[in-house]
Amino acid sequence: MQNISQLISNNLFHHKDLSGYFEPVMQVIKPAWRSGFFRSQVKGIRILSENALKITLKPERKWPIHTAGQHISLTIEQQGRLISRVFTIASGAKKLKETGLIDLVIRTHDKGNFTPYLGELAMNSWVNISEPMGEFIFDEQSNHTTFLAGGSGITPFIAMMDDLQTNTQNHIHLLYYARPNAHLMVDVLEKFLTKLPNFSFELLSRNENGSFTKYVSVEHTDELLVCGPEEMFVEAEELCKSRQLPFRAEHFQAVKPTQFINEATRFTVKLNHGDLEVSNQDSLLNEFQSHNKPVTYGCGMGICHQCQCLKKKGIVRDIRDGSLSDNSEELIQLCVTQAVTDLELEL
Amino acid sequence: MKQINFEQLALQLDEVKQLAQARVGQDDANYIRKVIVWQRVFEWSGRILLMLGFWQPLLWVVGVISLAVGKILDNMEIGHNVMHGQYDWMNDKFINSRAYEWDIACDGSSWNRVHNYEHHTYTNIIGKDRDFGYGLLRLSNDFRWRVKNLWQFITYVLLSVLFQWGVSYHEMAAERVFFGKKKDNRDNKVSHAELKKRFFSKGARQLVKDYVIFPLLAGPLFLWVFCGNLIANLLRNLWTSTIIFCGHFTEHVHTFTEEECKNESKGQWYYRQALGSSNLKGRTWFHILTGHLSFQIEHHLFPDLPAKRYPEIAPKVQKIFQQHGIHYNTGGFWRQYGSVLKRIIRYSFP
Repeated sequence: MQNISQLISNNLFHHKDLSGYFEPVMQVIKPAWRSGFFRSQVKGIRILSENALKITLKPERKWPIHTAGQHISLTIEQQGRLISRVFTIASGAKKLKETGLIDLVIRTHDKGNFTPYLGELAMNSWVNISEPMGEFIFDEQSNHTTFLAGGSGITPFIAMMDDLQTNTQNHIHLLYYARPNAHLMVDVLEKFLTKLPNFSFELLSRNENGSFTKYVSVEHTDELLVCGPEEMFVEAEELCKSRQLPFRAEHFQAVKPTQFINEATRFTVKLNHGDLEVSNQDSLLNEFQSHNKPVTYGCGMGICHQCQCLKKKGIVRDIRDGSLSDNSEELIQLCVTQAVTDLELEL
Repeated sequence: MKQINFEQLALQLDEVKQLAQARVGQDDANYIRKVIVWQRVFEWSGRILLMLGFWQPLLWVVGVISLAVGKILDNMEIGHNVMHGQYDWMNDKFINSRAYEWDIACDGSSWNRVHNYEHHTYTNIIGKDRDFGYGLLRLSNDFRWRVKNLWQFITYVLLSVLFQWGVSYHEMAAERVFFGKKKDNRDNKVSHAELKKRFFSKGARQLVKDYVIFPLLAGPLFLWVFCGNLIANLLRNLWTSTIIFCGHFTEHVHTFTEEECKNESKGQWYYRQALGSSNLKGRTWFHILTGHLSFQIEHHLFPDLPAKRYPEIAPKVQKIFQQHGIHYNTGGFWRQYGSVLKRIIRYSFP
């Protein structure tokens, strides 16, 4: 069927994909209709704290029901530009079935390229989401489980507990690390205390309480589930190895551009075939050429787009005006960009 | 080159670009999507009306015009501009210079290579910009006169009639691909076999679409649709050819030598783009149908700025040119086109 559609599209509509030909027309009838995405309507935005908000979305009916702990890619159109970020769903499948809604709890960053705009989303406006992804789920195999959350890593655990039956026999203890007084959704956690008799939690912070290792009870932990930043993940992995504990984790790593662009640094560029080490002191095109990497190029001044390629991940700097790119997928021109972080490119 | 403060010129034009670029956003994304919707409306109204010709021939005429407008919008305001990367910033899966393919015989990626690189980088440098005369016409004294130039006006008319095929043949540098002509320092990025494949594959798809599949789908109205498509393609060819000729071959357009352009600064590059191009005055609908190539000067200065922005920056560009004593070549359609025809005829002779 797909082959027939492509054949028609190629021969009658000069597009590789039929949806590419019709998408702008469909968008007149169905805003934000995009091939490969699901539509979702904004049903609520609640500010949780100075730098966190909760967005409630109503995905279109054909969106597959998620399993608590899974994440989605959220795409918004900001000043005509489509930008995406990945967030874990902070509500259970039960809520989706009952109300048709899902929640995202998002930490906002004033200088970010994405989260500052979320608060501006209008009620009932449309955004795009991906299908639910990830295998970080809670299957209740163990009797005593420790949840370890760091910052906005609380969200999958909220979803998991949201879906737990009130009569669950599983004993769950949550260790929630965040900066002092920056713990999210504490009111929800308190509600779980009454809903789930075998649930308990501790609000902790690295500065005041130190490492979590001493809080993970040896007797009362059959399995450790971790969601938090890279450092927490590494430490938890070591702990589980040493205690031979089953371990599941979801971790995130904030990509930050080098603070000192003038300081010579080398970055790894992941390409279709193999990796390459490049300097941040020259354009990516010059770096590729100095490594004898075959690459199509033209004017060398950012005019002709011949050296254009798809950046899958990472941040680059535009040599012409010094602006930094987003961390997500976008087209870049090698002749006028320098690496500012590790990159993944599709030449 | 003339004594001009090129450094200041570059700074001033860079500033114009930066200010315009800073305003690019939702309006531009909405605009290009709206044009695409209108393109689909014109194209499909045209295709449907072609089949109603048996009932009322006037509807067929309207259908032909509507389909031609659809093709012109697709080729000019959408295809040409999207493939220049003017909308790459949108991160749209389909509206970007890598993915877009247009309704014309010329394969998009081959065009992209020759047009965006050779023509836009080396605009009007004799020997480097193959678009100056398309290898068929003698349009300045930079070329030696040959007997075949005597009938180059007829060649021009034929080129205009068959413009989509001329572009397709030209943009693949066919004299190199088919006849093995060598070009010094030419580093082939795409193999000749690949270029040939693209040429025949895209050309065949266009022929089959317009002259076999759509007419067959019309059943007994085969001929109405066949002829309608033929004339719509002809109208598109004549329009695009005329607009493009007005952009580079008017009376006051300058040419440059490779020697003159060695180690060119950004300001000198801008200067060459300015003198190598010419604008057309007209109403909004006219500019849209030309793909805003009626602002050829602005397009050549900033090829990847969304074309919708050219009218708003044109007065600033004109003012900067005036300050530096650079001729801003603009005029009404008939005046500019008249000077193109004059140039073709003038250089037919030694």
